[in-house]
Amino acid sequence: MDKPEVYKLPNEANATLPSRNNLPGYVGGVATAVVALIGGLLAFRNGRMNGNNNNTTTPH
Amino acid sequence: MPPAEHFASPPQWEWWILGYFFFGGISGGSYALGTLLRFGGDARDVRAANLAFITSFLALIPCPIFLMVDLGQPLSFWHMLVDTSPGGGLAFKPDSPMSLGSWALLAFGLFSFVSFLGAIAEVGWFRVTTGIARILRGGIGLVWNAIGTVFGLFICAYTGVLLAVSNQPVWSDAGWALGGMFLASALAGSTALLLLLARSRRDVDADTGVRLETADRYFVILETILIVVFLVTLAIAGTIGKVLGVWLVLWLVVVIGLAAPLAMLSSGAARRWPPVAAPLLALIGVLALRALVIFSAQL
Repeated sequence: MDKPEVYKLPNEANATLPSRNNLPGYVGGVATAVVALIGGLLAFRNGRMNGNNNNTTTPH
Repeated sequence: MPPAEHFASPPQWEWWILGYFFFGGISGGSYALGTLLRFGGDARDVRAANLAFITSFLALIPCPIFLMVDLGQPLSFWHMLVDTSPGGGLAFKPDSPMSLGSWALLAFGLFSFVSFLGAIAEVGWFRVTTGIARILRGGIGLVWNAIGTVFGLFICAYTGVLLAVSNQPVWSDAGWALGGMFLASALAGSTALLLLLARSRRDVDADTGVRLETADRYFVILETILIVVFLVTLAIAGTIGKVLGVWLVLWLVVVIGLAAPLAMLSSGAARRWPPVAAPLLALIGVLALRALVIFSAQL
């Protein structure tokens, strides 16, 4: 019988499943979300504190 | 020998999936922006927050349509949620990003729709839902927005995880970077869209626009870092060639989209652009990034 690599299939030594990215993928997403949310909050809070406090809204 | 997991045929995810990734990202990102404006802003930011919640739901509408059409058998879409085999029940598979994404899309749809109803009453488009708007104004609304944001950000990121666990070069080589990259890109694109809409309306506070620009720059920097990580992981895996060549045209669009908000700040020439130029370029860049990730791996 031919070995798996003859058909470009993984063998016991080099077989890896893409599902290995499942948990790290979510962890990467959560880490990015936390950094982005902190950045967003800083932008909105600091901007208001340092920026113009006059109401510049133009009524529609 | 090439990485051993890349032996399966491409899933043929094309334009419908690109549309879903783009609009899903804009929807989730817009909802998160609306929540950030409510938590981080004050009364003057309410109009921009309402605009973000309205945008979120409108961008969400095409998402299930695109997914159903891509299935090929649109009427079978509910099989993603219900197991029809004997002794079935709900088709909830925590290990499958596709299953989690289906449920998250359903849950996020509820949060986005209710926030949409509140927002359209707040802006005076549909007074019938004023009761919902009144409830969402208080602490209950903040909790509602916070939970909705978790689902919204999940919608932004899980599409990257879905690709990363698929048996294709580029996608599975990118590892943990794809989910974060799509999330940062979605937030940058949503901020660009909100800026675009805010600048076309006279009732959005001008200072809110300035702070949205600041947030946009943070998101763009985060996205740029994750794109670099994405490319480095591909280089290490030996598959970076798949996203070069003809795809350099799309990379150019991505780079222009990333650079436009920063150029508006620092370049005298860019400051003379029409105000909508940078947000438009950023949105096109968000679409281009998803297009090159989706298509390059399958060719």
